[in-house]
Amino acid sequence: MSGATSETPIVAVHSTGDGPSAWVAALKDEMPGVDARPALEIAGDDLARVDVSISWRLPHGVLASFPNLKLAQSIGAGVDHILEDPQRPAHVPVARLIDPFMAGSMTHHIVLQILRWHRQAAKFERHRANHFWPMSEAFDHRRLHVAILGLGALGEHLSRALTALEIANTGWTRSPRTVEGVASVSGATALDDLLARSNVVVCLLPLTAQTEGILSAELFAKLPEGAFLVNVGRGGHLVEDDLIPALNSGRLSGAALDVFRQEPLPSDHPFWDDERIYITPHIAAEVNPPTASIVFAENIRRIRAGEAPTGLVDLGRGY
Amino acid sequence: MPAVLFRTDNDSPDQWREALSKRLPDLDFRVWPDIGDPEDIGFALVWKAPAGAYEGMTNLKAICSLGQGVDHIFAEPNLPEGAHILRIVDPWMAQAMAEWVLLQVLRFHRQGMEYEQFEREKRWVKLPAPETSTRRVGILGMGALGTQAATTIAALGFDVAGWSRTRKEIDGVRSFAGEAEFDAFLARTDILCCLLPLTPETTDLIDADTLAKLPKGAFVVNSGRGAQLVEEDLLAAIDGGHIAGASLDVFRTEPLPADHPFWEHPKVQVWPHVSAQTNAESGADQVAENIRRVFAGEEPLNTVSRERKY
Repeated sequence: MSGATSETPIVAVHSTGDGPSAWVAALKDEMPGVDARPALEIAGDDLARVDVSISWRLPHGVLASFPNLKLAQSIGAGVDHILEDPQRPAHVPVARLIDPFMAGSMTHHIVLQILRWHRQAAKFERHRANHFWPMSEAFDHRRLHVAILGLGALGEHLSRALTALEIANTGWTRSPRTVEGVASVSGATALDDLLARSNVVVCLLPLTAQTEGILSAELFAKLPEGAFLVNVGRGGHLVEDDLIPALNSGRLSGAALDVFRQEPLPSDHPFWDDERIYITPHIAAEVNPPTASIVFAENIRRIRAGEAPTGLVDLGRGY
Repeated sequence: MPAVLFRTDNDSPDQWREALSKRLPDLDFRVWPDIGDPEDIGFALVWKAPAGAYEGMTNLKAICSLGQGVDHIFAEPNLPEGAHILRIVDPWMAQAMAEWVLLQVLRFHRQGMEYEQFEREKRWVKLPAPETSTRRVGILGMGALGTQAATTIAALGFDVAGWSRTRKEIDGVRSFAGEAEFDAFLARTDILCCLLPLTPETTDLIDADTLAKLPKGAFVVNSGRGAQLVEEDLLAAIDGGHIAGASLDVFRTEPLPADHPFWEHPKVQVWPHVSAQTNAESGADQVAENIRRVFAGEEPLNTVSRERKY
């Protein structure tokens, strides 16, 4: 590798799916001269040269094999896959990916799901199957109120887009957080009030011990009749056994799910057979190597200059 | 006060009677066919009334369309000469239309046709993520509806251009004007959205020739009027592989005939003319004001030129 000496720090890269090679290549495009290598191929003396890990679902224990690690960077908005590693060195900072491309992709996915529900695409699809032309109907967006659970970079981007579409929305966070130009509330009591006046709930929360299973029968019961659920957070946010009963009781009129407890969703899972549930295969916010690498290069530079990275996670809170 | 005629097969008379009576307590609201003496009628609120609908209405001062389109009024061969032709310009209708067009754009852009199919087949398949900044949306017709659709879609990060008879300066939306720039507009358009009014010039505008000038793999959205699209040309372009698919809310014959090939076509999404219906509650302010003005002999709002027909 040109320009790399034995003193040059190494960036360890790991990704499931297509593997690390596309990420290594994109990072080298963005940061010429960087010594980036697949994490699982680094051995011997080189382990001590790794100062940054950029990973998605790195096998547990690998982070601990890098004694001089200064940053564990996630390839994605979620960091649960890093925090779950029981051998993760506790002192190493962890950063999530905040990439405007991802936020745009996520917002498009969610707006599409809300509009499909609001404009009753599934009903008209059934009419079409029967060659049936119904009486005309008007759809009034002023009846919509979207509760956005989680107001990180993605929630904020969504809120601004909905506001531009004149769709009323309010963000919710567990602990108080103010984002300029975004209506938001925080805490458990405020969540109950917000749910009571929202007919769409979008989950964009990080997965932590406090948010695991938050989308449950108890939460659905606080919504008005016929509400719509969009889960693009993590599969672990939804108590899957509570969803079909909520649809059967009419509490929920539909759900669009992009994440599941088990992915790929098993072919015998009851969600597949339920027409009220729209399933997408974890595609809401695709990470995009060229734009994400801009963020990674900046964080590598910052860590090596002794500065704080973007997307730094509060390890006490887990997000 | 002269009487108001209400005639449509599409909307509920009760909602309109209620919404208008709230604003005009003396309203004499007559629903077809129980209209009494035709000479009592001073104002007609109509949608697709058949030929001869205004016979005997010698005191008719204005005919108002229940929607944005007025082509159905100009289809009347004996249109009373002195009557104002009016439309409802409902701000919420432009919002509803922009929202429906955005839904079609996002569905195509986000590979909705494919993912809906995978879901029916219970298959977990991921496609390469679409790139938004290079997806070019083209709006045909930059009136109130087209402009709102264009700015809404541009706000979500798409590259948007509009085509209109005369040039329109709108932030973030590239303007193409007139026949001279029509081909250039088509050549840069991946998703074509038609929001034109129906006039002799726009009839059959989207034909084999127009479709061939779009890039391969383009998608067509029509919520203008059915007669602007040559339906068999669209089917041929889709089946020939040049056009990826279409979302249509308007058709040459509505209701769409039960044996029409669109119903079963996997790449054509059929909507039953629900993109932007006038809501009685939001349209009533304007209609009530126009009834008041017309009966007071004042100039009404939202008049339509008899020459340009839009």
